[in-house]
Amino acid sequence: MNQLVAAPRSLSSYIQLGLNVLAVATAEILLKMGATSVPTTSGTGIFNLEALGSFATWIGIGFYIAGFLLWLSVLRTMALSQAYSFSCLVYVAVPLGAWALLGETISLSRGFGILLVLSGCLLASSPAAMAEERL
Amino acid sequence: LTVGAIAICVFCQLCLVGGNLLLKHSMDAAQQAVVSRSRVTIGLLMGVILLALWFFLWLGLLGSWDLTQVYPFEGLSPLLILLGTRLFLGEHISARGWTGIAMIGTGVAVLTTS
Repeated sequence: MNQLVAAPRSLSSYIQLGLNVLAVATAEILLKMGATSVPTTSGTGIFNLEALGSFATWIGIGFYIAGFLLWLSVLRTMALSQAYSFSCLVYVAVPLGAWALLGETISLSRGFGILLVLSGCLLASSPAAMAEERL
Repeated sequence: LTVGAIAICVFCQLCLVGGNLLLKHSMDAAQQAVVSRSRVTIGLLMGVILLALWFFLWLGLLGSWDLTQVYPFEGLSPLLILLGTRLFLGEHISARGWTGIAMIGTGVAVLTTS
C-alpha cells in the first residue's frame, strides 16, 4: 500500500538516475578522449593535470557536474545502496559508448559481462532489493 | 599495473565511497529541521572534496593506464557502498539486492578482463 503512495516520487527518481547515468557515461568518454589527447610527461606525480589542457576534459567536467546535481536530488528520496546499484548501469553505457564513439570492440565475453551487470543493476536497484521496504 | 598504481586504485574507490556516504548523510540531515544548515553544508563540502580527490586520481590513472586495467577496481565500489551504507547509514538490503550486487561485481570483472 505504501508503495502506491511513493510511486510517482520514486518514478521521477529513476528518471533522474537514468539521466545521471547518461551524463556520467558521456563525461567518462570525454575524459578518456581528453586524457589521451594530451601527451603526458612520464613519471610526474599521480595527477594528470595536463589533461586539463584539453577541451574535451572540460566538457566532461561539465557533464560530471550535471550528473552530480541529479545525484544529489536522487539521494533526497532514495536509499544510497539502491541508487548506487542503479548507477552501475554506467558500466554498461561506457563500453557501449566506447564501442560507438571510440571504436573499441565488444567481444563475446565482454558482451556477457555487460549483460551480467545489466541484470545485476535491475535486480539490486528494484524496490524489492531493500529489506526494510518489505515490512 | 604496479603495486603503487593498485594502491591508488583502491584509495580512489575509498574516496568515491566515503564521498557518497557523506553526501547521502547530508541530504538526509538537510530534510530534518533540527539539524543546522552549516552542519549540512560542511558535510556536503567534505563529500565533494572526497569526490574531487577521486576524480583527479581517476583522471591520472586514465592517463597512465588502459581503461581495461583500472576498471576492475571500479567493480569494487558497489560492494564497498553496500558495506558502508550498512555500517554507517543503517540501510539493509535483501538477498535479492546482494545477488544483484554479486552479479554487477562479476560482470565488471568479466567485462574488464576480456
